[in-house]
Amino acid sequence: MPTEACKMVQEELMFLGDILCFSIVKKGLAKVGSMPDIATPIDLTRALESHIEPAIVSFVGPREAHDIVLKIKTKLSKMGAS
Amino acid sequence: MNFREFVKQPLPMFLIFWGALSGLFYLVVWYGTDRSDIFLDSTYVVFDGAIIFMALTFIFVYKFYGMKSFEGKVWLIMSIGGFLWMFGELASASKVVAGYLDVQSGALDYLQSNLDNVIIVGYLFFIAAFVYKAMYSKLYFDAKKIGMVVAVTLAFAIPSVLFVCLPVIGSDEITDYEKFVDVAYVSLDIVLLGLGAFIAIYWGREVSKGWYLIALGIVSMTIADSMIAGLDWQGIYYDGNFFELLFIGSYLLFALGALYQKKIHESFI
Repeated sequence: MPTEACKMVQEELMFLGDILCFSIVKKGLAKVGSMPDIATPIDLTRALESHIEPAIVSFVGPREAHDIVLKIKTKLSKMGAS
Repeated sequence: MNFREFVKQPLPMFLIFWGALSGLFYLVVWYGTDRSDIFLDSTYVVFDGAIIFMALTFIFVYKFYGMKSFEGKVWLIMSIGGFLWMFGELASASKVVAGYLDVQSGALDYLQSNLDNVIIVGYLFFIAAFVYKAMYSKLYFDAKKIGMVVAVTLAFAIPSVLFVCLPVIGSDEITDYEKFVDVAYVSLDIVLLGLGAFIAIYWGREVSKGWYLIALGIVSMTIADSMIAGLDWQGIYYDGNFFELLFIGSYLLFALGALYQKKIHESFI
């Protein structure tokens, strides 16, 4: 069962399709030594920077990706990521 | 994944092989035979093969993303366009085969007389797919980029209108429907080329290099369409013409671009 923060990120990226969205988040978390069940907002922020943002860029380009990531990061910071 | 690694994979390698085979096939037909109808018509095999592979690749790529993904919807719309083109070309080939077998078919005649409508609707699906994709990418104004898109489009549009559209519209030798078809092809090519330039300039660098391949496919197709429209207008176009290789190239480039997109996204999961 993914954490609340992870669920939020997955919901924001659902436009990529559920399978791709879950897989990209899972791989991003694995890269920072975490997984959906235990992911903290800090893990997710690091995963966003290292893996998820480049993935989103390859779908929608850098500007739209930047806006999406910024929106997610704002929500994550409210959930405890600094 | 870089392009060199990509082309070493089985499916891209097969598409490139088909392109090379097609080139060889046309060379043999032109320089190794007496160019009688049966040899020229045999080019349908490689031509239709290319368009079948394109349509199947689109469906394969669509299945990877799925209907819930916006990218999946892009490739689904492209697939519909691809299948319409494929259907049109296969119907055309069936008519030729039926001629050799001396088979009379009302259904084939009906299909043949409506082929252009099918292909024109196919164009609309391709244009719709690109527009839908653009809705998910932030569009921003860059005078230099927009200028390049407009310049490329005008460079194609002006001679197309002057040398194809206007003579066609003013002609007394063809029916209104034929005029509509000729002008529709040229107009759709202009729109598609504008989109192709936009795709290459905006998405090729920023989104994925797969879009360069698709843009190149569009350019190849619009050049082929213009050349063939020109030859047709002068009454000297026939099946098996060398310009058809540009169509084959465009279908294979579309398929390669779709596969490249899929490979790029696979690397993130």
